[in-house]
Amino acid sequence: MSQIEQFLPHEGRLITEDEVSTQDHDYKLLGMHCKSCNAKFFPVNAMCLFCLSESVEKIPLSSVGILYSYSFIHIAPKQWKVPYGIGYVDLPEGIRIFGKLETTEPTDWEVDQKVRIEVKASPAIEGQPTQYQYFFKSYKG
Amino acid sequence: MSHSSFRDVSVYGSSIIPFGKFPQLSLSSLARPAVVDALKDSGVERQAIEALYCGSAMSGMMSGQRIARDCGLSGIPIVNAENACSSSATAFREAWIAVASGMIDYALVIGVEKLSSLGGGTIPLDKEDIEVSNGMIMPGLYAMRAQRYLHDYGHTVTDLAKVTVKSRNHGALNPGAQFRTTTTVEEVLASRKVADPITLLQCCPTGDGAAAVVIGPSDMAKRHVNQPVKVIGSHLASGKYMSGFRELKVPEITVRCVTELYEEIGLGPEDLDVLECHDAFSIAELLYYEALGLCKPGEGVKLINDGTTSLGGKVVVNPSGGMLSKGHPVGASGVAQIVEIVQQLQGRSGNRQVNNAKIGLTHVTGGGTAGFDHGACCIHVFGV
Repeated sequence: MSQIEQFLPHEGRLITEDEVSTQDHDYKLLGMHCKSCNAKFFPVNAMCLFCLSESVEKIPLSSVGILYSYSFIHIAPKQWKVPYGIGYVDLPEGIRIFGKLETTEPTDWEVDQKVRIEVKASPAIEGQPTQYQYFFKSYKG
Repeated sequence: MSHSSFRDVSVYGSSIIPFGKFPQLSLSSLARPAVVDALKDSGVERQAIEALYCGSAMSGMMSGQRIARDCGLSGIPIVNAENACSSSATAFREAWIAVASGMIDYALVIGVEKLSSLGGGTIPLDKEDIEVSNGMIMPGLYAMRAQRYLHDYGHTVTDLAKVTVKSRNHGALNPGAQFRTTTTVEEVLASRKVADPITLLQCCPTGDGAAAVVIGPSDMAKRHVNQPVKVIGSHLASGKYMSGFRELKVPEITVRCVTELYEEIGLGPEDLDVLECHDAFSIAELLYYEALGLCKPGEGVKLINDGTTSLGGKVVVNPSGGMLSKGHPVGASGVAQIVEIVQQLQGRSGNRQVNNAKIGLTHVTGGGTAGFDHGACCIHVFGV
């Protein structure tokens, strides 16, 4: 079991159904595309953050990107379980996403390597809509 | 921006308290010695102060009023400024605008922060932020900058550690620094891990502090003091949102802020004798050397290695020990830097005096917010 499986809801940002594409059970993060100025950005927003146009659409983001940089965190506010890894991943859409790394094993990670964005459904809470979290998985193959 | 109608402004008086942890003191007790001393140093009567500008990031509401109440300054207009690490530099800039425009003659500027009341650790960031809510902390952001910097330029963790060694060498000469003992590369690298490759001794400490300055019109300065220090330029920039691939080795907001400032005042990095820059982490000092134009991208390490930025070097950076050794009570740092540079230009810096310093710069930036390099950056240039 990866350490991410043990996440409690308060240990990472929970995202809603509105922010995840669940088509064919292949969960992908949703980003935005502005039809007016062609900007792409993340996360989901009702208007374009660059030109304020409301003519925006959700787009499923690529699942594979490049790890721009990363770090293992050893001291953090109490809500976090240390150590944990963080990184920035650059997607083909031209969007950079921040998130947690699946492991803190130094040999798993290097700058400019490929990573997969894994989106998983959080443990269901009765009577509430499903929530999701994402993390980065080393993808060297 | 045109400043053609502005009059020249000078710093008349300045003071700072030794930085450290003072949980037993109230915010106004921290600030009062600096305020009283800066007033005395300025030769301006307390009753002549027309407005108070107080910068603090985490002190809650009305920090300026709380201090004014305990310093016999209540009743005058007070502006409380919050701009993360740039809070009191922003307060100084607002005071400068008020005096330069002719609206008022004399203003008091305070930078104050009591981080010990937060219980230590990393500074709390906005929990609604999409990165913070996924585990981002300030050391983590600088660590990722460091990781990329080392990767792209082939530098090593030893190069990072040397920044702290240089900082402690300066701090050891500053009686008001939070850390006043020298250290070694080995000690720095062996200290507790914070965010790889950043270790504890490569991070600014948590602490409390206060600093104050009195400013007024340059043409009236000699009536009050022998050695006024002129404000040559002031610039404030805010973060520019982007969703794409930001180059983490180039602190865009600092580059933009300083480029605009150099252009406004007709000076450049080659004119500087001394500066205080935002060395909140070891990597930060290297990045800001490059951003402020002291050297080319990737060559910051060279300036540490050849002593250019150490006391005795060509352009001394952070003679006070900087944030790494003097300390970084977030909102207090802007005015703290200004006090250091003003006193350096006045030749009052004792063992850490930079010889023949004529022009100095202060640089603060910060505020970890998704989509920005940083939230704010404020830079000032002073001269005698």
